[in-house]
Amino acid sequence: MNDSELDDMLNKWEAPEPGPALRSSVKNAFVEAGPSRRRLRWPSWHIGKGLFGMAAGAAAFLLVVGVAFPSSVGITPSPALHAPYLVTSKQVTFNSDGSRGDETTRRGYNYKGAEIVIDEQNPNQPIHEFFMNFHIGMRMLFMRVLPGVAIHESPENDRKFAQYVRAGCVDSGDEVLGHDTILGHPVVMVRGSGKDWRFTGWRAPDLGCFTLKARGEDPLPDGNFRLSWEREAVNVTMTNR
Amino acid sequence: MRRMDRESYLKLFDEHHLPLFRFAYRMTGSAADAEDIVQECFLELLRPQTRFDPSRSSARIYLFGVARNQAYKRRAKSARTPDATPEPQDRWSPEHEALRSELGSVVANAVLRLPEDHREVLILSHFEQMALADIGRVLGVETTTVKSRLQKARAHLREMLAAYVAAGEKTR
Repeated sequence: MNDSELDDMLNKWEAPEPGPALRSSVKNAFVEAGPSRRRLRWPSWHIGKGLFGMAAGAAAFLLVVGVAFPSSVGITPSPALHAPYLVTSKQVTFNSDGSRGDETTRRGYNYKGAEIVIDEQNPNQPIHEFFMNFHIGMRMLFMRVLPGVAIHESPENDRKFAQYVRAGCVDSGDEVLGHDTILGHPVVMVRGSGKDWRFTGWRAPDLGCFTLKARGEDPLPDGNFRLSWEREAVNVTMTNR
Repeated sequence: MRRMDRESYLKLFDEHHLPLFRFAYRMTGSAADAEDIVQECFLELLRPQTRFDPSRSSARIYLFGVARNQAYKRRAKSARTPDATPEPQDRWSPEHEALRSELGSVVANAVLRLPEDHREVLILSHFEQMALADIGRVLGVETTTVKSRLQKARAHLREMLAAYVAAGEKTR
């Protein structure tokens, strides 16, 4: 028997086709395998799960106790939670053609020069509104249970803020344009600018330098400016707290 | 290796599952085992610790290597089970009987009687038309070793099949 005859004989052995279910079972295996990740081997994986569970449980317990009885776990909520007043402001963004775009209503107050927002409404963008309020809620929660994380307090910051108030809410680099009154509160009108922005703010010294009105503008090639957003207080409520 | 996307995975399957199935079938003599082996080959690609590295070897070489190892594993497992080492002809499933001619059956029995290291070389070379160098990569041996095993496998087959041919000529 020569090579050719042997090959001819071998060719008589036919293999069947695989079953039609093979492809679907391999396809399902891909789905079941899920996203690729390096799995920890036993016992690391189980120890890891246990430690994670314990840590999550402890964190949840501390959170509940910290919110309900902050002093019992030695937590002093941030003084930034104290709102001496609440300002309701409306902010509008403007499209490049000058038409009005998104509109947001926000309530907040100032703590040592930083704005603490307590809620935000943006009916045209409910998803954005949800995430902003979630973020705001988390920040308020952190101010209650982990004040050091939510608000950075330091003597240096206090010193700078005191200096800012003494200067009549005028920061270094600000240009004072004039003085006015908004909703019965005296304000100083200041302006700051950079390469591709210009900001004008009306700050109220008696409200911890809260910006009762503000305007953001973009420079145009001809040297003029285009209004890109504007914010204005519509209501100020003293809380008596 | 980063996990491949679904499309690439199914493309690999479509390109390679038939040759893998044929190879596994001819190594084990069982269509059911061959399907299991093909599944194992593609599951291996999904494992986080998979050794498949497209920059180092082709998918074809890698998958045939996995199929070969799986076939060996099944063989070793069945060898440990009492009464689980049937003659090759006993390993055929009835549903495939109709597919085979008498001569095909004789060839199958002869190939399945070859030593495994000779059988795999013969199957890859003759039925899958794989180059000797690639067979060497699948098996992890030198090309000269592949060549030597192939010659021995073919010589052995000639002997076995010559007896069948001679018997056929006598009956004519």
